[in-house]
Amino acid sequence: MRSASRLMTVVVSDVTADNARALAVRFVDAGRVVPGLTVDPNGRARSWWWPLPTAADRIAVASLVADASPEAHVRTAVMLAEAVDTEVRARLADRPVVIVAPRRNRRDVSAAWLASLTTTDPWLTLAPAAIDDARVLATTIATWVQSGAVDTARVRACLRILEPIGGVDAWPVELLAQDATEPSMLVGASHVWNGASGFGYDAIEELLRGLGRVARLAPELAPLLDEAEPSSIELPGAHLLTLVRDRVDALQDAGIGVLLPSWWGKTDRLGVRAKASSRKAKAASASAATSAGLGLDAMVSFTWQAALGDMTLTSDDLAQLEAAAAAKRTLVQLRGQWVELDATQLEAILAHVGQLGETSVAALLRSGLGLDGITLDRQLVDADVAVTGVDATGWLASLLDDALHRTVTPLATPDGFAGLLRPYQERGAGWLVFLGSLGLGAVLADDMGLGKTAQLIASVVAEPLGAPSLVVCPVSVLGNWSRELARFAPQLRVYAHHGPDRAHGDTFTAAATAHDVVLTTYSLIARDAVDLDTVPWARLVLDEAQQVKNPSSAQTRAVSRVRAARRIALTGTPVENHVGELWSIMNIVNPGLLGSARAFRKAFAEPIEHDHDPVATERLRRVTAPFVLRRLKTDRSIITDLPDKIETTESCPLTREQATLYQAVVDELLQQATESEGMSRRGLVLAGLMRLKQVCNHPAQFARDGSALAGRSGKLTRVEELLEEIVAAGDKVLCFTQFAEWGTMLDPYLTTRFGADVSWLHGGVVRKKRDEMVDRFGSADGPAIFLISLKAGGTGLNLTAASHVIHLDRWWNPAVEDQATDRAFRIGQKHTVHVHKLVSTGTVEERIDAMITAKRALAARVVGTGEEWMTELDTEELRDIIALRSDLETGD
Amino acid sequence: MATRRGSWDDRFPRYVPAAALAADGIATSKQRGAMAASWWSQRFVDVLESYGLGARMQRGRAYARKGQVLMLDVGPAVIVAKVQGSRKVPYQVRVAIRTPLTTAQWKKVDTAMAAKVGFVARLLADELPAELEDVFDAAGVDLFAHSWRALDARCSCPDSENPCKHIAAVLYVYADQLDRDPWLLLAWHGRTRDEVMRTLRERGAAGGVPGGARASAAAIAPWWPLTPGLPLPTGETSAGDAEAPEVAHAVLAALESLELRRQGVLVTDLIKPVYAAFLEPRT
Repeated sequence: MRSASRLMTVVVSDVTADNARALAVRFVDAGRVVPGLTVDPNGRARSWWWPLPTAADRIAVASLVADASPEAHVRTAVMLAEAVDTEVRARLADRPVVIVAPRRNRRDVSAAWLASLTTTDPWLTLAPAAIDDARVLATTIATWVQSGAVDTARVRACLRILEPIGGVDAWPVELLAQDATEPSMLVGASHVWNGASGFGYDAIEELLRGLGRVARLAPELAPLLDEAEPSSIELPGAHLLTLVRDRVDALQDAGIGVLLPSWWGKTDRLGVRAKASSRKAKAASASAATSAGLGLDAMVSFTWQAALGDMTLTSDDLAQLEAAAAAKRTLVQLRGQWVELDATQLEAILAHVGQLGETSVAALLRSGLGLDGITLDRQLVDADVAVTGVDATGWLASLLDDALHRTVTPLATPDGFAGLLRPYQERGAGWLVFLGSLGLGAVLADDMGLGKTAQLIASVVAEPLGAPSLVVCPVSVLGNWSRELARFAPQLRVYAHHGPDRAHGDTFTAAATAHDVVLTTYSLIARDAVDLDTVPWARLVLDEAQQVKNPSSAQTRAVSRVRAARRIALTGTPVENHVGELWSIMNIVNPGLLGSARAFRKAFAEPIEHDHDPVATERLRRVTAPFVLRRLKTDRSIITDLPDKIETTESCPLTREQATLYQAVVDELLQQATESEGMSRRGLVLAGLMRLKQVCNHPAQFARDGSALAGRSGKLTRVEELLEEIVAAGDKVLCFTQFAEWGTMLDPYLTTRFGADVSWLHGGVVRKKRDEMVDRFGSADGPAIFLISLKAGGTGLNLTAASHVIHLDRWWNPAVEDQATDRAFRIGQKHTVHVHKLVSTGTVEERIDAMITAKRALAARVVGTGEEWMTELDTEELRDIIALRSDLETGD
Repeated sequence: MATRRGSWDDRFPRYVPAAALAADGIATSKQRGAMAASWWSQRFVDVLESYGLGARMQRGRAYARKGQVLMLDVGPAVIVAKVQGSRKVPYQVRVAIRTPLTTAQWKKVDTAMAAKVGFVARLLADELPAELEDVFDAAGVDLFAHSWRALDARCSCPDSENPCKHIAAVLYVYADQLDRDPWLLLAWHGRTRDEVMRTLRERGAAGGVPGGARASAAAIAPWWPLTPGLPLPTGETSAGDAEAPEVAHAVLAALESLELRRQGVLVTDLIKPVYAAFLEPRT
């Protein structure tokens, strides 16, 4: 009586009832309702529309339940069922549906049930004789509904491993029941046995079955089965290790949960560390100015130390470990963490502590960077002891330092360097000097425009090394190198080994040794290997080092064979994106550091390129960090002092075809100039100049014959190189030309060449289309290359997405060019804009560029007057400006 | 070649040994080598073969492998089976344990099994606990009938030998089934799995629960998603609007089929239009 009245006083709050109605509406809206049937003890049958909650609905349903008691569950179930039933019937009242025709037969239970599902009255009218049928049907329907309901009886056996208390070697392993749908719901087995868990009997059977499997799969835990009501067991560390190492997978496969302590698997391993002695390190820093350096093959001595991860172990630590091993402990708490202890390992480690060893710089570095490095003796290998790290002082420590380029001593602008190094350039040049002094190779991979050439030249000026430096570069930038060397280090004697008339044999050797810098091209490095081998080079400099990205190409192999004290690669492409290319370049400058190509592919290239494995990526970055310096224009934390605009004039050699055509046009023009005067002469000169520019751009533009473009123009070759670098870096570029026909030829060519969208804006593009192009270029996934005719792109365009501007041909009016450049350089521009002005070597383009740059007398007449002034020159003056000069040989 | 029609041979066909009619019965899972994989099944076979019954056992084994045993049922203390022999009507085989456990003996076994959770746990994990033999020994019962005399085997075949190859075949098929279901050994002794579990439950120990103390989710309502007595799940609930399903009656596909028809049409198909009706937005 009393308990009944207490039940009666429990009143469902209005809020809960409202929430139940809201939830009911959601079930109905989602169509998650099913028809049901119940028959009460008095034989009254009623039909239902029941909700069918999913596992995801459990929390919402549970929020309506007052407590864990069955009574509370029943109350909520009835409330929710009624709310759902009411909602469905209310909706059906608006739009009547008839499932079966109404019948008078009160014995046909299923008909009565179906009919009552769509009426407002849920009660069935049945003959007394049909009530048993109704009960059978109700059971059938209940079983059917249950087949789609959330499975609540399913638990699984779960083992939880706890830490021992008070330093004893006894690890508690708890037996738990884990809810299959709510893994966070764990109940101790003792509650299951005494019936206090609330799991049904089926669940208890499931736990027992799990326990049976546990005993079979993990014999260490079999003693659990000898108890009447097992709840936990204590295992010695050795057994626990077996359990965790060897059994977990099988247990989990058998559907048994295993909960390990959170720190498991994250603890450090016992191992050895190599502490490099600094004797030779001192010698190296003292001899920093010598040319030879140490090199990766130099031997350094070191002392073995016992270590736990990065921590070096003291003799106290070791004594503690020895005592534990003597007591046959396999898990020891050392310095606050649990450590796996293996007697054989410990013996091997102890045998090596304090022992001296000797290894190469390369191996020591590799060990320090977590790769296979120092060769271990048999005892360590057999005991599976790993090198956990390297401790070093002096320069070795610097090399192991992740931020070498920031901590290295900067190189102050050296005497004899005509110019001023920016702070980041001082650090870059200092880094080149530091690595060079150790005989280590460097890959300077700064963004285009940051002055890689200037940094290299500064390091050459600072350390002449008493022998010539060999610079290898593509033909297209040979002229640039001459110019830059003359500009920054006019006192350096530069010799270009290039062209059909280049020297060979003793002549070459004599010439090379009499100069400070020898320039040559990649195509000659293999062809003239015999000549190049006669000179002991101070430096081998590989410009545009992506040229040797293919390790099996003839030029890569030839470059590798060049004997040089120092090796430096310069590249502007983001090397980290092409790990195979990085290996090839690194293998030239620091042979062996990254291991064999095959080992590298397995350890880095495949995990990084196929699996995008961040761990492998980070390891590669760390291994190469001391030797690869790449700074981005956008990284303002490093490059604080970069101007907003960098202008570079790029000299591009003419091909033989171009040179021949150019000469023919010059001859014709000079003849016409001599033979005519006045307006007609003016017109002839202007037309002739135009033809010269066309030849400089491309023979096909001059001839208008629709012939193929590839490989016939030095300028186009250079443009392709620039675009490749720009596109690879994910930057965008504006390319201006004053010739609409040239843009029209380039558009399809570049599209094919770069497999990418190129926009081509010329005078014929209608306003709407042009706005569309500008918008697309501005969007992140828009085209990277925007070709613009100088006339069409004159005004009103905002193209700040570009960080590079290339002037494909010159307009002898700086104001016109600047206006175009300003397309990319406007308010809103966040990047430094790099302006590339292309000129053809030895031609009128170069002559006038020099005049403008040097602000000679003529230049004053140039500014603001277009090209008209040239028509006023007399024939001799004209010859001076347009004649083809061949300081450098042509480029093919 | 001439045939001898009408001779007595025709009316009384000669007895051909082992000319059993082809049968598609319970072929054993072991078609060659040992007849048992588990230790308990092997133990049973060893005991069987230790009776020294000779060639009949080998013929029985061949029968078992060929699938001549058509039906086998392990009832309380008796194995009942049908074996296809050379006659059209299959032979009836019964193999009973001559002296089943007494109530007192069962009580001893139950007590011992309740003391260690491992008995039931291993059985539930499809393994016969090795210690069960000791438990039966202590109760004075032979878990594996070590003597042929302990068994009461009968076959309806005309073969006067006992055991005949039919009985032997049945015992091999039983051994094969015992491999996968160790409960069958207890069943032969008179206790089915359900009975063992119920007994343990009633004792309230070793996994037993006090009778009737627990309600399951299904006892609340067939659709109820929570187990009473367990801590209630808590956490964020997504209170957003529910989306109508693409197919109105999609929920029915989540349930097993309800084999209930009216005039040949599945009742669930009749109900489908109702879903479309109440899911239609109201005007």
